[in-house]
Amino acid sequence: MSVVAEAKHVVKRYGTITALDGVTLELKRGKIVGLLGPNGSGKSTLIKVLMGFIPPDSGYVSVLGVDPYEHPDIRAKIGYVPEEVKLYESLTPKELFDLAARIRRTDTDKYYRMLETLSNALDLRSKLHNLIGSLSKGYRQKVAIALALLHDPEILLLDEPIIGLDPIVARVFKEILMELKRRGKAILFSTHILELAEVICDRIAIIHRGKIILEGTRDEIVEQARERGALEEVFLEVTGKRGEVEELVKAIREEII
Amino acid sequence: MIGMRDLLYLVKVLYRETAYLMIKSTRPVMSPKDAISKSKRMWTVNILIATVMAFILSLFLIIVFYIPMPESTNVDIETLLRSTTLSYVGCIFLFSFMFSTTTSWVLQEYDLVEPIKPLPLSEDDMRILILLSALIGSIPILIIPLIYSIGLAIRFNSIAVLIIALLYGILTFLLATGISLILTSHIGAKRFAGSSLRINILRALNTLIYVLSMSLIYIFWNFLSRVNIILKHLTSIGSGLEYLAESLLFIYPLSACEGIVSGATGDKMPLHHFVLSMVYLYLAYRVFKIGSRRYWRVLLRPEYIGVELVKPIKGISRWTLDPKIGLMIKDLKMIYRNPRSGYLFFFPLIYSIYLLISFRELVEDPTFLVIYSVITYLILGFLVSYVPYQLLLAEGDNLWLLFASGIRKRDIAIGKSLPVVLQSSIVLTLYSYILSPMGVPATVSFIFTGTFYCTATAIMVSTIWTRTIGPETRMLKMSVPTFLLTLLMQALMAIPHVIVTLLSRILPLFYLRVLFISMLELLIVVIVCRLVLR
Repeated sequence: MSVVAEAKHVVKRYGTITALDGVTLELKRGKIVGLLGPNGSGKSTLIKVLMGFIPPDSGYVSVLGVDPYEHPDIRAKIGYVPEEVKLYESLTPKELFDLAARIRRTDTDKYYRMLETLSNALDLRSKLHNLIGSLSKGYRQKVAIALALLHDPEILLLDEPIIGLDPIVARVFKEILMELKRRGKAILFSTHILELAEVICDRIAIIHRGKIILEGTRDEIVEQARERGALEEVFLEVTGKRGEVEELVKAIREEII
Repeated sequence: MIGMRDLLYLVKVLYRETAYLMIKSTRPVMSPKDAISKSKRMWTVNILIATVMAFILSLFLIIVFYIPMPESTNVDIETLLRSTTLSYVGCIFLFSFMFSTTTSWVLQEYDLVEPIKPLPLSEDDMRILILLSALIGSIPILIIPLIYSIGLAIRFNSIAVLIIALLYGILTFLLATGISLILTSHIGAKRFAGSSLRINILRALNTLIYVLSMSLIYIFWNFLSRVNIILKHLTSIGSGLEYLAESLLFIYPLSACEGIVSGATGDKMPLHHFVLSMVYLYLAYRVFKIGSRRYWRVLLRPEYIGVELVKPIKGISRWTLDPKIGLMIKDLKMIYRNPRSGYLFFFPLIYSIYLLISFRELVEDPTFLVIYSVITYLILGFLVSYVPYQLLLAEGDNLWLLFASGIRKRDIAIGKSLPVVLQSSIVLTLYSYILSPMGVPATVSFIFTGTFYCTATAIMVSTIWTRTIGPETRMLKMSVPTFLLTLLMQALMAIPHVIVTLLSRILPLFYLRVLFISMLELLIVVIVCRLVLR
């Protein structure tokens, strides 16, 4: 399996805060990597570095053979869903997709076919010509997902993409990801939902305080999970949060009862 | 009911949030701690700047009454009072309108009130909070009536002039902010979601109303500068019309001039002027109340009209498969649907109508025409060069979308300037009517020269601003050094045009030379843009 994107010993600081502290991660064709970590652990920063939105302070980043920060046009081959979806409220989803297609110079026939398929699959068909401002949060999330998939990208960088989706579309989306994996796409999937990572990811990386503290194949991680009872237990163990959580639960019980 | 202290604290928080967004956008690597401390200072600094500006403006208005007039100046005190009062009313109106429109737009567009909505605040509290937040930038303008009325009262030793000037100042402020809030809420309230014939007509009407309202502000300003001429003209026409002229003096803003003249020069309180100013104050308060009520309703509950049902999906033309064209199509759609986001796009069009009315009778003097043609496109170039800035500002926090699609910064810079080609060519074609005595080749050359020049300045300004943005930009910040740099570059680009114009008497085919200069400038600017931006 060829490596299509990689980050090696990447460090990123914001003032005195170290968001990424020597992170190394690889994305391969036909594989889904699940990125797990508590809030503020550096998941979104890592995805933004891979997108070339922000340059690393040190370390090496390569996406499809180039530095994404120096070659922003490579992003036309990446599908990206941000953690917080902001869209043009005075455009319709169709107009937004058209804009992206023009920027990416997507083949018009391919774009049309993808738009037909995805708008039906994601239940967006009836909302294509409504202003985005009038859509609910769930529909906006669907628009962001469709936007990331319309140009049939080589790599998918998804930052908490499931949030806000109804169960039916979430299921469809999982199936879409599995199909894209079969077609050789490389996918990085950041999530809080441990069960989801357990089901769809080939590899799982747990990031905490800007460092990858545990990485392995799904089977390896699941094996550890089985020993501890659940993936959640592995997560709490490696992030050192178990004690903290137990303290909190105790305090809550005492306060409420 | 929330206390005044808490209320002001919340207003301050909203203002800081805006400042924080601007600071983090231009300096994303700044630590949150530094950004917070800087945004705290920005609140104080901005209020201070607005206060100083209002103070200086007031001094300019009042100073004429404190310096001895040269004997050669044949201006009596009443005329002086009338003209300064018109400027006084005009300044308050214009600045209050501008500040209030900008702040209310930012509040609405960035959903800054959203995080406060879940707080246990009553509707009245929310209303006052939103209103104060929208008007906080305009409040320093109230220094103008204070200084102007006190200045007049001391100079003319009259309490009456103090009261009347103060009343007209306050009522103008209320009127301007009220109109601005009505307009903002009108545009923000009705977001037309669908694309049926009815919705398309409503959307077009909505945009038209906004553009016409903008021109009304402009007409109001022009009316103030010409009001004395209009009155003289009316009285000189013939008997009967003097009554019309006299009755016009009781209509705002002329009533302000008459009230202040009467208060300053009369011996006792001019009761009828006082009553009239109170009536206008009440009416202005009503306008303000309508505006504020509509605005806070819109902010809390925007409404979407004409939701679309399933329509066939259309593909896109291969001819438009270009990032620059894509950006231009998107921007034109957004300006059309929300004209507040690009009012500089409409402004020259309104100005061209005024210009054509002013030049009904064609002037045939060749020197005038040459100078006029160059000045026209230089001024237009200056104005429209800020269209890309407005369009970048209108991106709000959606820039990630463009960058995530793989757009290059140079495509953004040029794409944001493309609407200027459309705009300037239409406007210059209208303007060219005045140049028709120069002949067809010179007139056509003028249209092309102006369009090239306007496009070149727009790309240049756009390049400078685009350098400061990135995928993480959430709000564009106009810093003073960057603004000065754009002015300097514009001045440099204007120099060759001015030189050739000055030599137009000795240079044959003057218009072809300026056409060549503008083409060369456009070429250089495009090359610089491609070199400077990745």
